[in-house]
Amino acid sequence: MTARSRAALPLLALGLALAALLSVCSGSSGVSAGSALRALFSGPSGTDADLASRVVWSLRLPRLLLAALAGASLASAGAALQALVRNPLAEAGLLGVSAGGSLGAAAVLLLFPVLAGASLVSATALGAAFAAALACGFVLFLARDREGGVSVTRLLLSGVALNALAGAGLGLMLTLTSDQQLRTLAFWMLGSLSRADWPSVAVLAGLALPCGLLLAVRARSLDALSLGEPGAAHLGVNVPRLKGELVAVAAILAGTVTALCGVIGFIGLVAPHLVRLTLGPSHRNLLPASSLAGALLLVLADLAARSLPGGLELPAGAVTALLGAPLFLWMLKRSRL
Amino acid sequence: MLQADTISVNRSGAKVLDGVSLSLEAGRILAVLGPNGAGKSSLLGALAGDLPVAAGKVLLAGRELSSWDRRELARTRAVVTQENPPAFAHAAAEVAGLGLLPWEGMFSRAEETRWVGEAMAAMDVSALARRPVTELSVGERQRVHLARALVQLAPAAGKARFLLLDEPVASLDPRHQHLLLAALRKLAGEGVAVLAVLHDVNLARRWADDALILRSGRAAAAGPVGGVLVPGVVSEVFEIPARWVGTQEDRWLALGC
Repeated sequence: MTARSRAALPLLALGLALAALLSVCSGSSGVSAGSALRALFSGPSGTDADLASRVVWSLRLPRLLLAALAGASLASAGAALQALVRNPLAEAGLLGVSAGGSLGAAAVLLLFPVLAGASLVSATALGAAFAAALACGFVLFLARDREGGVSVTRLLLSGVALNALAGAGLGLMLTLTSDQQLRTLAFWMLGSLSRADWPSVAVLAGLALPCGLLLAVRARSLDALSLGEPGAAHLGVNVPRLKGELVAVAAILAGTVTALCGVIGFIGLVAPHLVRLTLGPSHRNLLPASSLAGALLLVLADLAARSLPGGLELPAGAVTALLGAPLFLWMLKRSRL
Repeated sequence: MLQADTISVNRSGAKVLDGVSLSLEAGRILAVLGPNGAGKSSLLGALAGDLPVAAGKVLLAGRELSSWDRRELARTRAVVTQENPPAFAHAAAEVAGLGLLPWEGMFSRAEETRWVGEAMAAMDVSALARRPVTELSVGERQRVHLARALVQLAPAAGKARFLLLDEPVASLDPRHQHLLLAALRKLAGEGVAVLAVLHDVNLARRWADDALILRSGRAAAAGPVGGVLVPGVVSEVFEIPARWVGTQEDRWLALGC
């Protein structure tokens, strides 16, 4: 580990902590930064009488944690997919995982309108998006070539087809909805953290942690994959199993995030790319650093999204896309594709 | 010992290897030669386990290749294929260090660093250690990959070890060709069985023990280099004139003239 990578993780963690404090202290409810901090450090009050405590503990904190977890999950899913297809331009959106997730969640919202707006919504949508993402993973598995390996070209083209299919499904549903549902759906589809609550945080944490651990254990095998699949196999890597694990991990992480927050693009692309530029591509550094960077980026994007003058709130997904899409185009221009 | 017993390999329906046998003992270097498309890389692929054999079998240390545990196999034999650019800009030392992947968790960081350092010095790439491999020349990268293979086999010293190389000197300058082959000779001296696809008959005569010449997927000639790499065989297989030049004690093959 070089001096640079030793310094990078604490620096990123410090940045995340500062962004988190800033995020807890700011908002549109009129609670001052000082009373927000006091409420944060004195713990949940248990009564509804204390406005600051209620705002911090049931609104801002779950939102902050969901943003951090979602950012880290999207960045990890991106890093996993990039290692899998050996290309820094891969992302969950590209493979149709995010689209599958949003289609599943939209289906639940529309087919069971009773639940819409209820606090159960994230949990139910989660089930649907999860199933959809896994279904996508399965279809991607079917993108195997005759020799038994998942061919990268087939994988990417399957992703294109899945994206088109999920987009068509969503479009169909949108035409069948009432105006009120349309508003709910549209806001959710753009990707926002405004629905954050403690159950969503718990669900995402419970899924993201084992996925992150699995990736960490496989760090060196992911490096070996950079040599190509035969090269990794010569080093003793069980390549078919590793590829299956990567597809599953990316589907779980990106699908769950999409169900809870909607489609938030480009974090999975931007975070690993920035880390590679500064620390190099070794996954032992890349995985933890891009998780932290992804968390930091999404916390900041959400903060920016809800700090507009006049109390306006932008969907966080729009902010990440505004910053991420130009970077993606720049990477595309520079790449040798 | 690495043995191939009348193996055949099919690729997209065509028979690219047809009943080839070979036997490579510990401490020897076998050079595989032949015209383009003769099946050299397919033979290497079959011996490495990358390509399924349609007929015949491959035995490594007496056991059929398919019965080996992945990790055990990776600790016993290393493979360097023809240049395949890495996807990401890993530092050269990181790529060489990947040779320790099958040994993950067995050794201290200090031991790992020592092995990587020794292998990189042997391949004359120590100065490139921190450079991104994507910025190296093909020849430099080839030597980094060989250092990786040396690292992979280093901890297994004293046990049966095998090294399979596809055109390891193809992109190297003359000095590094000899440096690499001298390193292989040294490895063979330590008991490693080395199989290398080579194109230069004189390099093969100088550094290898045995030669196997392939033509159209079949073994055209096999045996000690002194008996196989002679003008008659070479000119017939490669379809160019070949003759001895130099003195009786110090002679080499002049091709094409």
